Amino acid sequence: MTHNKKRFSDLGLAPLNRKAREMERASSPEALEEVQAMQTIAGCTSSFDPGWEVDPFGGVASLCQPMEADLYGCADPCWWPAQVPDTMNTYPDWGDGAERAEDDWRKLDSVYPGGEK
Amino acid sequence: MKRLNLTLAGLLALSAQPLLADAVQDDAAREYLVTMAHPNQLYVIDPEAREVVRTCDVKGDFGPGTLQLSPDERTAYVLHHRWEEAVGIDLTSCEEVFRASGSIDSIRAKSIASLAVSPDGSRLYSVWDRVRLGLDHYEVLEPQLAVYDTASGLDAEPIATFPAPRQVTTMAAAEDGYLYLAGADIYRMDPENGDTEIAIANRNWDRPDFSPPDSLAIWSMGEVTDEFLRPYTVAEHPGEENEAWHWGISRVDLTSGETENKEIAPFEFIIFSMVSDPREQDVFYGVYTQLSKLDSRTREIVKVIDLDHTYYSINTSYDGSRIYLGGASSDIAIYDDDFNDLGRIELPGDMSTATLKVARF
Repeated sequence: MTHNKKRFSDLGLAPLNRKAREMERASSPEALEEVQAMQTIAGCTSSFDPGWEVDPFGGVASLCQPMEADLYGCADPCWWPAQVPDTMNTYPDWGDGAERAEDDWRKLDSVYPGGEK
Repeated sequence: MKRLNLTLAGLLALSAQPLLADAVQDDAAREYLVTMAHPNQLYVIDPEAREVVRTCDVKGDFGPGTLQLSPDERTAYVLHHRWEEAVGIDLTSCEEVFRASGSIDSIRAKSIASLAVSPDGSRLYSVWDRVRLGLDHYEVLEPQLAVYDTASGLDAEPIATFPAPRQVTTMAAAEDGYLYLAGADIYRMDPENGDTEIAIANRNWDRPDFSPPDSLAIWSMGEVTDEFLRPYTVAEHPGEENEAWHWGISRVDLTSGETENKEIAPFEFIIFSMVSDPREQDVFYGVYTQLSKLDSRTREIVKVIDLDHTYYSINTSYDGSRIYLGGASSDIAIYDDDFNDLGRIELPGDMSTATLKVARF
């Protein structure tokens, strides 16, 4: 990936939302590479998403607050399959015994594809 | 309670008019909040008392908790069991009155928040996104609109199916019987024959000065104002010096079938779901990590406050005096229309992607 100097448009990808447009306008191709777009097949879906770390305005104030409030909202619809295991298909029991994420987040463990949960 | 109130009203009619008024009001339908939460409970909540009045265990696992109400508002239909089943629950008794599975044999079907009830309550509609699971490959099938008879009981099968557009999420049934489906565009479908057309162009709109819109539609509110509404963000003059970002709405009046699409306010913060004020259709309330009030007549953000955490789902009381916030996390917040905090209702489980509905019975 470090040899990839192409902009998204060169790859046939059109920016749709504000965050994607900001990435398209990175000051240089090298700057764009500081934040890598993620493309992966992760359990339930293919995902192409710039990440959970930056909001559409380039800051963090418009991310879900706190992240515990967003855990099941991301796990249940397979929204961020790399960051949160999907309960839709692949790890249906991930949240068992942790019904309130804000209180029970310590019970939510990492998962290991193909191996022990 | 009804008999007691009427008796009291009769006894006090001549001497205590205010009490009579209260008694008559109590005899009318009450307003309840209805939502789903982890692991598999449907909650009926009294927003006045701020307490859960009924907890219904719904067999199966949570997800997504998309809710629609029957016309008499006494039955809630919920997408459930990891997005694969539609279940009807009697809100007055917790009795399960309907269940249908989208998945059949080797075909796994998920519905991404697509659920609607016909105006007469006799039909339930869902769009199923289907995949045939082979031993060594998956085959993505055509999405399907399934039409159910709501009297089909607990092992319901579709009485009709039709091909549906891809990427459909929320949907609603209009008074004239047409279905509206939120996908790349807002589609209008005739559930009698499956004929589908674009009702509001979004991806395919012809607006040279605007970018394509970006929208999120998972929460199926709109019962209070009888409308189907999807917010979007859009850039005007994209890439130019005078580029400006806006919130906009695509909206269908479910009574008249009228549609509209317009920008309503500057895009300065995220909104996950939006409803209009039942007293003024051009005033909108939005929620995410902020609660906001937008006025499309002036295209201004009228008021915005930071919330103590993110909420996904917003609704209002039928008189517009209260705003209800739910989804994400496990408490429902209540505000008045001037954004004064009226309290919280704590639930034992996380509401995640569930809809927050308002029912009267």
